[in-house]
Amino acid sequence: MTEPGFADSFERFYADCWQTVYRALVVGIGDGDLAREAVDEAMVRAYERWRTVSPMENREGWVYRVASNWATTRLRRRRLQFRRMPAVESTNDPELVDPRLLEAVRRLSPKHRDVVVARYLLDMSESATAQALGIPAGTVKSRLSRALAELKEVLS
Amino acid sequence: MTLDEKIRSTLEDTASRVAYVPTTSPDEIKRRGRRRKARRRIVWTVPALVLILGVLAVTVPFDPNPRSPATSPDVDTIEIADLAVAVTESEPNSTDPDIWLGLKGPSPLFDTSALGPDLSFAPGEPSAGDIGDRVIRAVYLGELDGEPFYVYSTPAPSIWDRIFEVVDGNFSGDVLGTSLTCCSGGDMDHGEGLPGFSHGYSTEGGVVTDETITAEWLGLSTDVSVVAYQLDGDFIGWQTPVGGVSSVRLSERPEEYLAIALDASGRELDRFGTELRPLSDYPGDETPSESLLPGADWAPMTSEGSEIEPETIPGGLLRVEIDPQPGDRLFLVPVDGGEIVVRVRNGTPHVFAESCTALDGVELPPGWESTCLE
Repeated sequence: MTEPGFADSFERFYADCWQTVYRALVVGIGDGDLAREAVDEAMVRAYERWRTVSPMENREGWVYRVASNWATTRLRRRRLQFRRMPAVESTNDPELVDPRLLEAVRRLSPKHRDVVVARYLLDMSESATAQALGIPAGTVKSRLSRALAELKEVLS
Repeated sequence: MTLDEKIRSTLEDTASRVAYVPTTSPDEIKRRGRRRKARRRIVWTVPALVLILGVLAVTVPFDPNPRSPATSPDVDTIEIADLAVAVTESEPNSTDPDIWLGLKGPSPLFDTSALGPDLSFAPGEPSAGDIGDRVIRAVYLGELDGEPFYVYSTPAPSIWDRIFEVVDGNFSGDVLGTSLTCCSGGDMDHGEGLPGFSHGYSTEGGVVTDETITAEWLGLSTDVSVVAYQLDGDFIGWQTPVGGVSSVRLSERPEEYLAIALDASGRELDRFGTELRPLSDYPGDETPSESLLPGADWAPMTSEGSEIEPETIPGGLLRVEIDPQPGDRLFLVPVDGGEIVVRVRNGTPHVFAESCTALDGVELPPGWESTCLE
């Protein structure tokens, strides 16, 4: 039986974190429906292993990473299917503030995009980003540096 | 406004405009989580029941006559480059890259002594360090001949394709690979589907070294309990597949090769066989291309640099980051504004530099990972 407080702490985390991760994913992948599915999937996985996830310093980062990986996999499959099927319109693509920049962010490789979103949108430190994405801090620097170089090229 | 500030403000502004959507209720999320846990418990009982039946069963003789395949139980699978691989849990055992544990096929309930020795995978522990940085996802099957064995996918085109000139690979999507044969196994060296036989080697001074001869069968049903391997008319051993994957290393190249898939009671479910062309029929086999040598021709970049020993890596911090291991090859390459070090580990390149600015000036082949310090 679930002990008292176990479910409560998950519900608090869920309420605090869902919209933040969802928005970060929508910005990164540009598909509100997919982002919603991905966050739900990540939250189900977080609940399944809440005893492990709950003590983590960066639970939000963990959920973002799981959701992003899940969405990336789905997008890859969908791209293959798109060869035979028409593209699906997103139902919650935000009004573009700077279409060139946003498009460039979305065109980054998933690994580079995750670092940009974690650092700039989820406001994670370098070490928190490294921890959330499960990569060394040096790789965060390298990926961020390369991502910024790509974005700079687009903007210039 | 700096680039940093522009990116931050654009992303924040965009995120703030993402319309609020009502979240799925936490109760629904918890219900899904509980349902998955329950389903996993059911999945675990399948191999347990087979084990109990195995203890109670009377051994039956090997039946060589083909029969219709049995139905596969409902098990979790994940896709590795379009190959459905049965796994023990729907969640990865470890991440970056995601590694799942393969589900072992049922133990045989019949007498396997006529099939030769048991060549099955031994239990072991997966480690992200076993596989290259470009691996997207992998399933760990256990240890084979003392080495960890994975079936994995990498994005195409893969560095492996360049090294081994696998021209038949699927370049439009993920590339399928197995760690024993080192490269894209799905379409390699055979055109008859996922079962196959491969012969890899490298040369030094015209002499063939590091021969790896394997027989492999991927995509097997979870009902398959035994894959029996027959070479030149003799059974040389059998294996219980893990994740629907069977792979054995052969000591010599046969002229004829036959693999038979059997269920736990010894009924034949499928077979794959071929008569192999003599090795001398393969063009170029006598004088293999230099490009078959890992690291020799895998990137034009390294021809501008020189191979170095670990102790000559410039900078103590860089040496710590590179963490040279036995078997690594290291290349120091001069670039604008400094130098970079290319490490090739298990055939997978990774570029290191002290200066991120110097690294940014280098045009890396698609998919290469890099690390810089400042």
